[in-house]
Amino acid sequence: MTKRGVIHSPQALDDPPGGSLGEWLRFLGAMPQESDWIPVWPPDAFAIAAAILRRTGAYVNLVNGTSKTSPKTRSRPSRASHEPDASAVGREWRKTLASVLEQGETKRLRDACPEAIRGWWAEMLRCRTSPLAECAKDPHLLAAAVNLCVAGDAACDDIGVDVRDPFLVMAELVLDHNERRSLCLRVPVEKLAVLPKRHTPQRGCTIRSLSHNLALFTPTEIRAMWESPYKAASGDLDLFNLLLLPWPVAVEPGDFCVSGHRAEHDVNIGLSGDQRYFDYRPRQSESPAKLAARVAHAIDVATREVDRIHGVALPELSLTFEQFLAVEKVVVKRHAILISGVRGEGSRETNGLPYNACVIQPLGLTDLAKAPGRIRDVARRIQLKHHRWCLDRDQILQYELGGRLPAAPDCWERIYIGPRAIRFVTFTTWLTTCVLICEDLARQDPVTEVIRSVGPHLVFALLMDGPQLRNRWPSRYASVLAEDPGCSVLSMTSLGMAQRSRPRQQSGDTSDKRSTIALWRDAIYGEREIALEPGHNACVLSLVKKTATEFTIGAGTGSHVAAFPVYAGARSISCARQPRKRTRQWPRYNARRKR
Amino acid sequence: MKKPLFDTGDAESNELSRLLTQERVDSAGFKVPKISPKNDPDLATFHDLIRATKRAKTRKKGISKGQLRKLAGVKR
Repeated sequence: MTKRGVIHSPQALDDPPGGSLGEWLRFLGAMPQESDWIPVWPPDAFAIAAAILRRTGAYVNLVNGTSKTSPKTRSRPSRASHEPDASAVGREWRKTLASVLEQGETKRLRDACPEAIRGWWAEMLRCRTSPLAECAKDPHLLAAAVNLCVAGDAACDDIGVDVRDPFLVMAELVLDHNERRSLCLRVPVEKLAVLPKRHTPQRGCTIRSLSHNLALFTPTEIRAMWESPYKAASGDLDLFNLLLLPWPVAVEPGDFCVSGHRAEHDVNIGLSGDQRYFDYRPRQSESPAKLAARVAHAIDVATREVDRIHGVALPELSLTFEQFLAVEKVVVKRHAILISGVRGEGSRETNGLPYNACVIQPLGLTDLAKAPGRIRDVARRIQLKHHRWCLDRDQILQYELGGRLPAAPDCWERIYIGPRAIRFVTFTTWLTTCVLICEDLARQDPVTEVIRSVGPHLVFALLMDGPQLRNRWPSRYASVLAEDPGCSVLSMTSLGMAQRSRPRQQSGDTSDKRSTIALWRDAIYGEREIALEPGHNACVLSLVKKTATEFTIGAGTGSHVAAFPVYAGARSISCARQPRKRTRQWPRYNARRKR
Repeated sequence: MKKPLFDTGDAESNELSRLLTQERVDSAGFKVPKISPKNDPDLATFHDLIRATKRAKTRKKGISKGQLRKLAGVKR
């Protein structure tokens, strides 16, 4: 970043004392020691103000109806009568910023900053020497922070999903500058991160309840990244048909084995000698070309049932990376996105440990579905699993693996745990997604804080698990995300694992539910078990957009129409038949080939 | 250069995003400000970012300008 921003110092104020609000503001990248410094970029204003509200906890006064901290009803009589609406100020700020960025030469950027923003910032600076702990007691300071927060948020409508004006393009530029990890220009990404947001929680009272468009979180070991929006070839979609391929359809006990690497070697690579470890290594693995042909055939069969397939999803560990590359090629050519669990052998890069990852290929919905492989390479996104799966005695019995894995001590998945990341990918305006791999759905840390802050429309949970029934663990964790922040969740497993499972049936329920390969959960209509019919091996899940108004806490902080992908039907299909090989019938051509 | 399998956001991983932003910046109609950076360091910062993006010679091998424009959703 250029250093030009810090040389602008016409009037320096005294350095704020230690432990004061001023010192804290300076830590966040603001310049409270300079009288004319103002946050000129809305995400910065939001980050600083929201961080103060979170740090002091004062935002809770918005739900208490404490009028002194309510943004529109401040008690100071001299100003209250003409206090502007923070949302309106934010929208005006956005309009002026877009205009200045487009014309550039006529106006200083700080001149685009509305008078109200300057006033609220000045109100905060007034308390710069106050101890941070005292700030929660100052109603005017807190009202100013709420207003800055609301205005910054309102200025960022459609940020991260559209690029229709210079402000939104500039936001993309800033995101790139921060390696797609934050929208802030002045607040360093290592201290605070702000990303686009898709849902505002409608339950509970947290700092996330205060904004519609921007998500604040403290960066931890997990790198949360917002992908650049891709332009869909067919514009905004009304319907999203997802082909679920719960493959492999058979999992054998021999596909699991106790790791041969133990004792001394395990210690060297970070595995404890007291534990047992297992590898999942299917004995029968189809060639990439054959598998790709089967997927192509599945898409063709599915297309007879629905107008078009927009996406293909496969569960955890279903493909090798080589198989993924072959499948990706046919899926992208058929104009669909691909999300799949991928397994791989150990390498020097993974310290000799196998890896368990998900790979996302978003290119299929764009105009570049028939582009060469190079662009597929750069568009492909890989995310490693964050936690190892621990097979305990109950699970070993449940999956009938007792003859392969020791049921007495816990048996851990032997995989590489690499740098942790989560990627938010937008396929259309109402479908920003992220992927969790099995155990990562159940383990709340460290990913859940980020997911709750951003509130993606849809969370894919790729599992290697038993049938996806309402009474099992994925349902419980999905309901947590559906309630706060309002995500839809699709958990899917392979038919092979679902069939291996012998879950404890509810009393009186004798039906065989081992073909329930997926569970859909959304915040509006609740849960749906998705089962295959006997002999079937794939399923088309249809999703549509439903809109609902979301509100922030406190009066006057605005409402927002949010999109929810909801269940619109599922159809079980069979695509087991191999496509027939085409042979050319021309005699001269065949004769030449033989020669 | 082969893309590392597990990179999680370094420059190589976000290459496509940068290329798309470059196309969007090109078509957004940004102009270099006439006022001096001393008078408006914030605007200068923005334009530094714009200029840096325009200057960036990223690895475009295999990806044409037209393809990037389509993907970025911008017109010539």
